[in-house]
Amino acid sequence: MSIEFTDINKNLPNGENMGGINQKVYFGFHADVASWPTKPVNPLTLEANATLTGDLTMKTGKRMFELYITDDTGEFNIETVGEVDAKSFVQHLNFFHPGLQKKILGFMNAAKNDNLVFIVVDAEGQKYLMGDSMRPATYQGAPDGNGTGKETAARKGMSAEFTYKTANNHVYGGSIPLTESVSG
Amino acid sequence: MIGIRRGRVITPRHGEIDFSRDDISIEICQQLYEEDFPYLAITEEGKKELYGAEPDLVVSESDPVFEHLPPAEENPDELKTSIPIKRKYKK
Repeated sequence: MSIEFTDINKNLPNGENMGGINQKVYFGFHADVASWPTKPVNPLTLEANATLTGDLTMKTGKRMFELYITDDTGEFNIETVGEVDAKSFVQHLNFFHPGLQKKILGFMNAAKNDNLVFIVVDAEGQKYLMGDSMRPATYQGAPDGNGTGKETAARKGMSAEFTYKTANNHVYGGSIPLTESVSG
Repeated sequence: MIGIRRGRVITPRHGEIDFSRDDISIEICQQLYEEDFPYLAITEEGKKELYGAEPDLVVSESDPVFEHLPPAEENPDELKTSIPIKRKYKK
């Protein structure tokens, strides 16, 4: 491995280190992605070893979509898995969407058994791409339940967990197309 | 714009930009272009304005000046030419 180790100091630009994720996550069908950003190949620095290069682009007529989540319910979590000499990661996205409107019900109906891609933005604006050319993000269940709740003060809505299995963790620095791609 | 309809894109540095608007500054467009934003292409006029570059010359392949002769026939003794030969006959 040609990577050079360097000192890793406390590095909080402007003293910022808020937790949680933004109130929007971005999603699309894995099959609708035209091109993926590239993973590092023989990176020379630690930062390069965690950086994706390029943009995710969508096939003609397709785009990414945004999904609103209730504040302080969204979480991006990295789990380490695997045996010795075979370690890898599972990235988890958890969120709660308020209400039981037809759109969110329809989304869960469509997403539960399909292959998706998510882009998650943390409180500092750093983006994580859940999905690559080989592996999608998939639905795992509803960690905080789905439904009306019992009391009138209960929180009615849909929770969801999606996971993405990856050999390494990377930061995505590209754009998110919320408008349809066209040919040419 | 190229490869996408004019509309909303989350950009790496400037957040969400609605490209259907007409008031996006030249500076932002230039930064996006220089950072390899995939949905912006620069015009020849833009190259000249921002970088002082002369427009690229476009050279297209022209039609061949001469037509190819048909393949040679089996009789090699017969001279073939694309110019008709006028023969004079004695009376």
